[in-house]
Amino acid sequence: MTNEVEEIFDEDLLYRRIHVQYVKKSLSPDAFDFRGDGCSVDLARLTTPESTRSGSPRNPPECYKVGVLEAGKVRGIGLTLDHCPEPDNPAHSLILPPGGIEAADILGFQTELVNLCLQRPLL
Amino acid sequence: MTQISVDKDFLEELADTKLRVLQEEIEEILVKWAYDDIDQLLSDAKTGILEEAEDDAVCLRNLVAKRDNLVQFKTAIDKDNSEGEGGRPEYPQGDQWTALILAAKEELLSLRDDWDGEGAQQVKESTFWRAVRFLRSLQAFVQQQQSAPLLELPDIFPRPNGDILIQWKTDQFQLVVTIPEDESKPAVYYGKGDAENVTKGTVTFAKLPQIYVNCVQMFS
Repeated sequence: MTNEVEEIFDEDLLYRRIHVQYVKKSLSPDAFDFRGDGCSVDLARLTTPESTRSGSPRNPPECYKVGVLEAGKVRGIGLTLDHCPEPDNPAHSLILPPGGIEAADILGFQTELVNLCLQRPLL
Repeated sequence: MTQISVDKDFLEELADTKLRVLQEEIEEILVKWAYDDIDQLLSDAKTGILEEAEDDAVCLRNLVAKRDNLVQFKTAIDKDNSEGEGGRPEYPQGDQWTALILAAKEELLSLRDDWDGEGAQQVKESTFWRAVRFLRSLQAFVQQQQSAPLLELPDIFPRPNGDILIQWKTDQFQLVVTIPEDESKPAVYYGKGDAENVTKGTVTFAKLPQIYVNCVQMFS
């Protein structure tokens, strides 16, 4: 694997590390929070669910589930995807919201990402 | 009677622990007989519909009495703090609500800074009590409505910034509201039904109960 930026195709899958605090009867929208540069995900074809789950430097893998998203569906709700490889994680990518939106819109995008994620079982 | 002075927080912790144990024992009996209504189980045991449940019914009645006494006791010790915005409100009424609030209290207030490994802030006790106050006022508000909508039990989550998020996800609608750590900030909400129509925005804390009712009316 290299650290070259790859195109993310609509049929690509994305893995998201989700803290178990966000998993109850429902899944919290904060499973997909936009802290910092955007919502971090891993491009599935460059990693494994196990690698995504164990990607936290401070918590053990047991603290996390892995959610799966389809790239095309993420774009379908108006979000942008960028592959942003990091030295220790070549699969690292970002889900980015449109600029200049309100807090309620962000919460809406987070909620819709959860609904997309729940179309597949958590890993 | 000997009188001793006890730290109020310690006393409340003891009461919460005892309440939780009682609630678990009550639920254990309900699960054993596949009931979700205490009164129904007691009634069916009394009339003989439920055979061989007499011992459990006696035990259940005692547990419920102990729990109700403890809730009254807790209400009394909470009363001093119930004035003003920062105080501790009454719990929403009902077995399932009590269990929900107690579980959320234990879970949310045990989180420490960086609980998610990515810099999340711990939930402050004042934020938790504001969430409880919202749920209590929501319950009261819903009961005041002419055709009171069903108030479903929500999920209560910590947010990475120390806020609390409350989510209802039913067959008819989904509603998410935030309880900000900073009292001066508005609450944010997002609701949607089966179709594509959504309701979203920011609102003052006092108007949050109306948002739930609006959502039920729009999407049910």
